[in-house]
Amino acid sequence: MTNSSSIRPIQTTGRYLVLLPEEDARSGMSALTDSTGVRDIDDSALSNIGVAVVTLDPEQVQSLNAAVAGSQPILAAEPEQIMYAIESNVVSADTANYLQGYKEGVTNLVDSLSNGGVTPGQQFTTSAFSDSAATWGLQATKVVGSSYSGAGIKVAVLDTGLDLTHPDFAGRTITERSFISGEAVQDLQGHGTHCIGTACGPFNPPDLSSPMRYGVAYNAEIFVGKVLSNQGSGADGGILAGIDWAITNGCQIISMSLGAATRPGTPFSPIYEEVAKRALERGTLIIAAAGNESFRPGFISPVGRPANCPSIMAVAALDNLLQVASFSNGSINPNGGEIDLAGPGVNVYSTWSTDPSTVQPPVGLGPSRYQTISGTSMATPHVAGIAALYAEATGKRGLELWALLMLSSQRLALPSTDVGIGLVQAPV
Amino acid sequence: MNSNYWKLYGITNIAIFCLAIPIYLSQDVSAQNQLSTQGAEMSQVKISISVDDAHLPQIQQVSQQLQSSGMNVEQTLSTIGVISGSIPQGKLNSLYQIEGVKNVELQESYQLAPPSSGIQ
Repeated sequence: MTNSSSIRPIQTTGRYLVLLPEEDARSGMSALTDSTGVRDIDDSALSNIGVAVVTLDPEQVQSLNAAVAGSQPILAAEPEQIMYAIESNVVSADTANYLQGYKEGVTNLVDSLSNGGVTPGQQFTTSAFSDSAATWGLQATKVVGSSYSGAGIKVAVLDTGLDLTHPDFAGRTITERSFISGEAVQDLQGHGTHCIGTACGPFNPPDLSSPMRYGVAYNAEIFVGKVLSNQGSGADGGILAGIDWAITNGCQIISMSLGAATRPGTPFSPIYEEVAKRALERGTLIIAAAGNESFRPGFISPVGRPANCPSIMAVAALDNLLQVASFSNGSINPNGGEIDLAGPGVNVYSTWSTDPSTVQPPVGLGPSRYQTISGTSMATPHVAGIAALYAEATGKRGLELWALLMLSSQRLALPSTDVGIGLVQAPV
Repeated sequence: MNSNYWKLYGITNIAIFCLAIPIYLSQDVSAQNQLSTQGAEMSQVKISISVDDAHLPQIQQVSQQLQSSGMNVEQTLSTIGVISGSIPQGKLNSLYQIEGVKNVELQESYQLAPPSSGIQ
């Protein structure tokens, strides 16, 4: 490899960048001059970003490193580097040869790893995730290693309600309200209980015969808004009332595993968009399922309503190989109709309704303590629960919380039209 | 059966017949009315209305005005600024004239797939 103009080694200027505390640059500066005896300080970057640039002899460099390692108000120090503008469209012969060699090297390495090459879209994972002490979804999203629980955060799940008698939710702070006239919050369908289990289920499920963890924000306050009947149906009137109730009660997160199909060209609802913008201003993030109308690879349906609003986060579904689920909708329509990110949505284990009156087969699944089902409905509460973890960890709300979820997601070698920015990841 | 019975039977029949004719006719007339309006004014549609920012503090007044215009208001949601309910289809267009009304939409309905289908 030759030293072409486009591939440069690191070059330093001899000076040092010193990072001082934002809230007390003054004592940082004193510590800097006292510890190194340095005279020549360029403080032009000091007042706004807290960085001083200094010229030091070798002895002074030693003193500086000691100061950084010690308890001085000096946060970090590093050699000043020379930076160059990135030249685009200028590829010298040397660079082209270098890149060609690099490409061949990578291809050889890939071939040797996977017996014949990797097709575009495959992940460099050696094995699929599988349920063990925790569900595959909690492993893939790194919820398992997170030190956060959603404590102090209110998560509203607008769905078919919750089985309030379910033993796994005993002792939790639960606020509930039905927006379906003639029906109580008690979930007799199962869907709502499943979603709430994923978003907020316990750290140690009490069923000793089935102790697998399946829930994200195990200390979050649960707000159950029944906006879908025990037959799984609802309308905007009830859903909007549920959203209003959740925001009025200070919920930082609203999870909606519901939607109506759209077609190419269907615009988003101006009313839901207005509502979602007002919610964000009030510090409430609304997260909704992208919808399950697709039959991939042949047919991809656009993101459904109301997930297709620009101000509502639209969630796609992945399987345990981190591939897009066959039913998961895609970014077909612009202006809000894009997938924002993806969550575990295939073969997701969580709570179900244990109520004896739970809708029976052939339509329902009858009562049971747990069920394993699939859908963007299941991916959505993973994101909602993880949003609660970030809300607790950082104090961020609304759009800033949205940004945190996007920034930290695991990028995948899959089209953004399918998975948005990638797989949601929990805070460490 | 004496002749008085038959007289009573006859008078009763005539009375019923006399009453029936007007009832039959009035039903016929109403049917005519229905046909002439194509049923549009009769069918109620469920709607949502968003209130613009400027009128959010007076959302209750907006709600009153909507009711005066023939809307059956079910929810007045002051946090998100939405009023929902139903209205005869023929009166929809008049709603935009009400101060504070930003958007009017027909309510969408939602239906989960049956749990037995596996995909939710």
